[in-house]
Amino acid sequence: MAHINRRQGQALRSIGNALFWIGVLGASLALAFRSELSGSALMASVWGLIVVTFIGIAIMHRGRKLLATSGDTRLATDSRKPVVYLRSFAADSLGAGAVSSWPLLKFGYSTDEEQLAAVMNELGPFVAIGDPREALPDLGADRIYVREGDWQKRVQELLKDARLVVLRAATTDNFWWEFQTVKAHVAPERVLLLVSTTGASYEAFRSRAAEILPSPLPELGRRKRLGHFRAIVAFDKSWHSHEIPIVRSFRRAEFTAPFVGPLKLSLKPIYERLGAVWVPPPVARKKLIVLWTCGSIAALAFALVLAIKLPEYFNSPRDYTPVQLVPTSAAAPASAGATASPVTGRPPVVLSRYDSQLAILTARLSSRAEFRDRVSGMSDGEARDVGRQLALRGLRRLTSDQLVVRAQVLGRILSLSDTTTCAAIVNGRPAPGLEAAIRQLPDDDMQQWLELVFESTVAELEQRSAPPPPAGSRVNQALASLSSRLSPEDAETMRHALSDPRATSAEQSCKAGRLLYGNLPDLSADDRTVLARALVNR
Amino acid sequence: MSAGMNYAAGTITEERMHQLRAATIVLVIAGVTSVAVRGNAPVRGALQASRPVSTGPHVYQLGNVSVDIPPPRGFEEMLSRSEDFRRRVGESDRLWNLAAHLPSEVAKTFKADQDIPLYTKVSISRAAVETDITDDFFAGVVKQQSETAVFEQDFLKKYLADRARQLGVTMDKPVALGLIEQTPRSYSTLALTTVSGADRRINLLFSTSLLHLHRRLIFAYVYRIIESQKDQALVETLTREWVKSILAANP
Repeated sequence: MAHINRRQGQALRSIGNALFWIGVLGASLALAFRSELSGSALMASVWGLIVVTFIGIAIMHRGRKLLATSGDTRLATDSRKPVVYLRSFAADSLGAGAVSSWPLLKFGYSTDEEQLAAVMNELGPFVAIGDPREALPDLGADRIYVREGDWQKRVQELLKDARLVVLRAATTDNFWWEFQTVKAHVAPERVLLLVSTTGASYEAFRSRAAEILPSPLPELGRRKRLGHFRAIVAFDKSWHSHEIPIVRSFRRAEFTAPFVGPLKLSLKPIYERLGAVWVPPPVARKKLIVLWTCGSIAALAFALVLAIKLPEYFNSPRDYTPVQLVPTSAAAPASAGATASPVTGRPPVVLSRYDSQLAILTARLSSRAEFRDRVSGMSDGEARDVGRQLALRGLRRLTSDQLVVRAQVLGRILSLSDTTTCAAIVNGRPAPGLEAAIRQLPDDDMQQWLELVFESTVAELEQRSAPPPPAGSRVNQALASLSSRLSPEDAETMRHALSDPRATSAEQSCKAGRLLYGNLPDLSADDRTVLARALVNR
Repeated sequence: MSAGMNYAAGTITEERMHQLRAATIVLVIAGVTSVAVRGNAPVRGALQASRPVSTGPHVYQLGNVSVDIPPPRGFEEMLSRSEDFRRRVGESDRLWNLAAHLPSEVAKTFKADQDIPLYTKVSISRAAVETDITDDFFAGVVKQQSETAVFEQDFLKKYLADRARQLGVTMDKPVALGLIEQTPRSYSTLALTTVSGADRRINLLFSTSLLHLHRRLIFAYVYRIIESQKDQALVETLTREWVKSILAANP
């Protein structure tokens, strides 16, 4: 016999409710702040809180059982004719005792039998014989407890006054006794059969029922279901069965009791047959509001992300565009600095000296507001061209010392270049092989060259004043000094190339350039300065 | 790197390795931001262990071992001498700063509001002050450093964004410039970043060295505000020589 204690039940329900929310909210918070927790701490927290959640559900469940009304009390206080629920006790584990399949989402987690009771109690007090072995009544129909040998008599008493009898299909001997007793004492229009099995189990039940009924129960195919119930069967005056179509309704299905509304919609013909007033179940406003709100927030968030990210994507700021002032089309040679890792056995990722120097140059130029203004809104290619032009135009604004350094490094670049590239550089034409030559420079020369690129670009951006170009006579004097150091043949090659570049072959241009830049360091300081400046003012 | 690597105090887990790696990166950023911004950097309390104490010039007691961290040649230790400098350098809540150094000529005249174009720093993870690090573990950390684009990690991005917001600056994503030098007990890399304040953009080169000294994992950093293309060579040379001297002081 069950012991019902309302105070204890209320306390357990409150405690269980609190634990449930502590578990749900705690696990959510742990996941939200997962970056603050180590991996094992996060796992322990989340799993621990999930366990707390389920403990809360179990305690809440027990509290609700303690709060259950006994069937005898219900019958004594409700003058309506009862709705009698007949089932095998084994069915309680599916319909009343077990937590439904998605308890975490169903905050009130009503069991199937509780939802059935919610509808049946509209027709009359929904009662059932309780399992004498259970310590507490299962949730759903209000339990009537009788002594072991008295239950059949009590069932017969209940059936006499029943407004409706609900049979839950089972295959135990006691159930078949109940079925036969119902058939013998209850009008068939007041009987409902709930089926929760399919396939071979249902076929076995159906064939046994055919021995009692005048015609077989309907066949079950794939169909809608309500919780564990797969079919609702009613009977006509001659005990011929027919299935009542299950009506589904998303709008009228509450989160916490999802098939109360659909069940009531489905049972409309039974209400009418019994002469009961049927009103449609209420629309699940809370659920719809929650879903609508969540959907709206999600849509708004998505729209905001699009509004913020799309302009960023299409108008990404140009103030740190990796503008490359020096062409990078040539393949990078294997870095001399790359070393095999003794730890991993494979080479670590290493930028070449040239690439890292280029990254530094880019960062330095990009930090200049004037430069960012110039290249703002440009594509990488356009910005690169602008940078190259700035660097070239700024050369004449460099100091004499800087130009002498430039001439010396350029002499080494020419010596490292192939003839075509060398000739192109000497004649001031685009030189695709320039980068490959720069990559081969010693570190000091490379740093100096890129430093000069930076300085000339900044000089042009700042429009620094440029010293006047040297007079022609002074240039000729310096050239004569340089020629005097060459063989007559080389001197003639250089003179010819400088006086008529268009009539000079690539080989001759390159040779002349190498002679000019290669011998420049040996001239006097004055002559070096004059020639270095003259070469950028051509 | 397996999750079950044994070491003296127990078992090293992926989690601990993650902490160490995180600490490395956090220190990099903490150091970076401290250069760019003049003002106070928050110093929080210890999370795991108490601050290591210095038991002699450049010597630090880390649990049951002591390590010797000589300053780079021509530099002086400033963390223990200048409160202003300590505030400027700042400290991550995951790391202890053991030392920070300035060039000697700068140290003599250091003022709270001046730029710090060049300085060095040494740190250790607060969680690993008393943790013995095996050779295998160190190799694992190095392997991760060489394989992972550390600046791409979410937690670092978040830290970087938070720290930048605190200091009122923005920071471009660092660019890894590659390996400087690797030995069985050290691993040094170079990176570049840009820090922007209200009216300035500062380009920073910084090297990060992982050092395995007396079974401890130590982080050594060199920070340089870029003034010329030659600064790369300056930082690389300084890093190589300093790491060499630290390794020699801790045979």
